[in-house]
Amino acid sequence: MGTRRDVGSTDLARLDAARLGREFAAGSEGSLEAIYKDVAGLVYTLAARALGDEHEAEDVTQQTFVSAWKARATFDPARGELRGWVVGIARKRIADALDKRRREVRNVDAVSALSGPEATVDAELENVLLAYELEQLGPPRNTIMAMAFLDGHTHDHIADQLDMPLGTVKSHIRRSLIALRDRMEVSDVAS
Amino acid sequence: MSHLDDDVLAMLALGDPVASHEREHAATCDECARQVAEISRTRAGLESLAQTGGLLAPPPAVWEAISSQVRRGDGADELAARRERTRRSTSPWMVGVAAAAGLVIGGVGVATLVNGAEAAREQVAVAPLTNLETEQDAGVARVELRADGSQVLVLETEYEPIDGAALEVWLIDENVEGMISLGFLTSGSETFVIPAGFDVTAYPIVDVSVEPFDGDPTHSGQSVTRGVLDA
Repeated sequence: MGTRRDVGSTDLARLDAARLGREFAAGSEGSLEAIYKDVAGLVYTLAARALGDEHEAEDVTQQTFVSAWKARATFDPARGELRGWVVGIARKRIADALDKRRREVRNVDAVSALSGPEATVDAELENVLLAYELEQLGPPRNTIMAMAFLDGHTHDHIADQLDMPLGTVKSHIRRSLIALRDRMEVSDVAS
Repeated sequence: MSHLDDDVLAMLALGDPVASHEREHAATCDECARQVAEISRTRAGLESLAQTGGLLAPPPAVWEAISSQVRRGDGADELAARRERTRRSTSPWMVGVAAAAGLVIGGVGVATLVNGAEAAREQVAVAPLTNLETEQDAGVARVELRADGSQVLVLETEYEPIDGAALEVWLIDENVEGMISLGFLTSGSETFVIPAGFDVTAYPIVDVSVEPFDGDPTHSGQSVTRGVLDA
């Protein structure tokens, strides 16, 4: 375990997530919208990548959240975070869609030797989770990390653009890297 | 010396210069080396985002569809209907997802009751039904093709209301993994619309289950009547 972490903000986020989980399980108004705002991008991106089809990704996203809401009474906040539970539903939905497509294709030609649908989804999952966690970093770190890794800008360029000392940019990148490593550890445990 | 702090570990993972004693420690300390490897893996993951791109946002219509579907409380699917295609499957007994979800996931059932004038129909498949408790004949289920091209499942079976529960009608695949709910049986003779595009041959088991009013949309596991469609 690392020696220095942003423990305060992580704990706060965890408390918020736990509260949302309880509200969702109880069917509170607004909780579906709150979890949608939180993970719709993750679910949709995962579906779009795995399925390679925007319309299908929209369908899966819709089905995921409607299913989650209908099954909310079965969500147990004591057993994990709501977002992990919702992503689990999405994972299953996407695998089902891939499986169905494969069954349709199999009659035409033998493309059945590919890896299983769950494996196809999981291959994309880590990458999409990382993109999600990057956004969760919040300003200015999400911006700095997106510029550094998504856009491939140099640290000098980022410092210049954000009017920030180079040392500050580098320090944000290091801390973001540690924070993301920690978050991905948590995700590993969840999945 | 004590272990390296996160800042130095990150510098090592990023290939930034560090003091020589810190570099030596990382080279000889398993724990610190493991951490550098982990952080390097995160860094490599971030670098791969340059190819795949960041998160996409679903169009606003998706939330609108969810919101109105949930508010209506029924199983109709606006987005899909708009595109004139319906894809649906429910797999309450599939627990593969439980690893991630921790729980069994219920699906979206479509319950559409047909009433009104009887159109011309053609029988596509038939399933003799059996009462699972008595193992006696319990009527018949037929898949029929209507004049407008839609398919319906017609059930003619025994019906007895149950206190605190309803009888739900399902089509289930041969592995008893995937299933779709067609709605609730409220009389001994009932017709259910099969969603357009749904492949009945992949779900040949006709199943009637007792569903307690507990808010759980998944199959209760208490089947009372079953039959298998022969196409």
